[in-house]
Amino acid sequence: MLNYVSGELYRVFHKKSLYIYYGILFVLFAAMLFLLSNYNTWSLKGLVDIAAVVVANMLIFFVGVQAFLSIYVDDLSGSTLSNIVSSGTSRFVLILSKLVISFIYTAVVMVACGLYFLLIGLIVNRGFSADFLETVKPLLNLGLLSYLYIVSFMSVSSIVVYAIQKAALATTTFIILASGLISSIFLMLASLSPILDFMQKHLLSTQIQTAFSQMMTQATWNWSALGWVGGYLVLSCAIALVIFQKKEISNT
Amino acid sequence: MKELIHSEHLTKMYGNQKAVDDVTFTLEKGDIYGLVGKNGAGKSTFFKSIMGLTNFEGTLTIMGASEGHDLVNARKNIGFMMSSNFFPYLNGHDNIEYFRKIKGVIDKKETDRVLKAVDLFGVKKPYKAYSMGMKQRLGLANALLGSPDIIILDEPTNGLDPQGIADFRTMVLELNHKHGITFVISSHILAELALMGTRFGIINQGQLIKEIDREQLRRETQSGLLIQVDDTPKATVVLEELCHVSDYQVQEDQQILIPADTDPAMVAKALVSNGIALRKLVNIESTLEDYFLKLTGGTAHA
Repeated sequence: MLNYVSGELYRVFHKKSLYIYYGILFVLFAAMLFLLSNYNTWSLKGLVDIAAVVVANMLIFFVGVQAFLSIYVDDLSGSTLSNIVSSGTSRFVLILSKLVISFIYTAVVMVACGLYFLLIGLIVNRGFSADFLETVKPLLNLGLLSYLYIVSFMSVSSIVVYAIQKAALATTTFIILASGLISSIFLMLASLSPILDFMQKHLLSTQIQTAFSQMMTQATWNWSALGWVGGYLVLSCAIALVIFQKKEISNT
Repeated sequence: MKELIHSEHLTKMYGNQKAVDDVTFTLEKGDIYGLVGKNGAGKSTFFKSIMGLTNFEGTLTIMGASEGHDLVNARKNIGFMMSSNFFPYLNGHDNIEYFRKIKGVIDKKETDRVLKAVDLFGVKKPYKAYSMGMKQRLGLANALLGSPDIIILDEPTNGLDPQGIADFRTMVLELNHKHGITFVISSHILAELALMGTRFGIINQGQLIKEIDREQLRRETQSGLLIQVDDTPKATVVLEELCHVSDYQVQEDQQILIPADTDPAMVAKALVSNGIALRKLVNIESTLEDYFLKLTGGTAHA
């Protein structure tokens, strides 16, 4: 398993488009902050408020899609699953390793985003102040929550990766999940049936929205969110493994 | 361990169709085993079964391991190439380095070694910019990683030019003779495999219909003078004592194949004058293609 994780981390961090993508995102983020803020009254608090909206609404999507494509979809685009499995890597190790890699890779990216924001914050704040960390803490909490949900969505979408082995379908699945579309549809239909209502309340997307709302309005952690993340991770890995064990590896 | 891979009644079904049908196969150490068959005969599916890319019925043993984790681990001793699948955004070095890490090959120089072996060392452009021949060579490099005991190659010369094919053949023979690596190579072209193989398997419609060794293949595809008589034992005596021909083959239907340089007039005169009816006397040129088509029931194209 360590061999596979090592190889995968080598691969994903040697992808030039990773650096170009985040370079562009960082520039756009800075530009957006500048445009949205009232630069006559620039403050760290104001910056954090704007960034919190961005994090709550966009981070899962922009970071998550790129991470999912790199970690899971590239194997389908390059048809490399056959090379990997035939090299003696068991399917169980592959699935578990992908989960480990998604934790590591997403953490690295999120830390980089966090450090970038802190740098902007230090510039706006004109240096480190006594309440600096306290002011940015809500944003860091939102970032941590986003991180957990990105990894969860990737794990759920990986079921499609292993079941269908088609890059476009897997990517579409992740985008639909990350955009909250499933949750919105269930919300519309929830009143039609108790079963739909039950399902809607237990969707990962619904739990995300609840946790984010609580974080932004009450500045407190929704600790049950961790339970939901853990549950979805375990369930999705188990389903992926059961499906993948029986699937033929596509070579095209 | 002499027997490296052994399959027993290996069958793979897709719906109601048998892609691999009851194949019992043995690969012995030191073999260069050529698996020959038309497109769609089942060669690739058979390889996928060996390499764990698809489920199958029957038994499979790789280096003594036949199930579970042991079988998965045993596949680490096999270098495998089935088409050339790599990450398009990485160059050749990075792709091979990726697989070096995954395969657990500790020696960092191994990447450069295999790239040099296929003449791709120092090529900087990403894989997506490679030509077909370069892609095939990179696939070969990946199969060579870690100097495995067994290398399985599925149609490895597709896309290679004649020089590339010759270089590939030289490389296979060197690896086999000097380093003792055992090969299984599939192709739909028997002539190509005949130049390097030590044993051959003909696969058709999923079934392994014939296995022969190099010497037997040579005998069965040689050219010569084919005669058909009414008394084969008497004819062989005449050939040996009067025509001084000892290198003949008695075939079915009272036919005898004698070397092509034998004087046909002398043979005819000797047989007839000794009371043997000569029903046929023809020069035959049996190509490998003819042999293959005869076995698989195909027809030659004009």
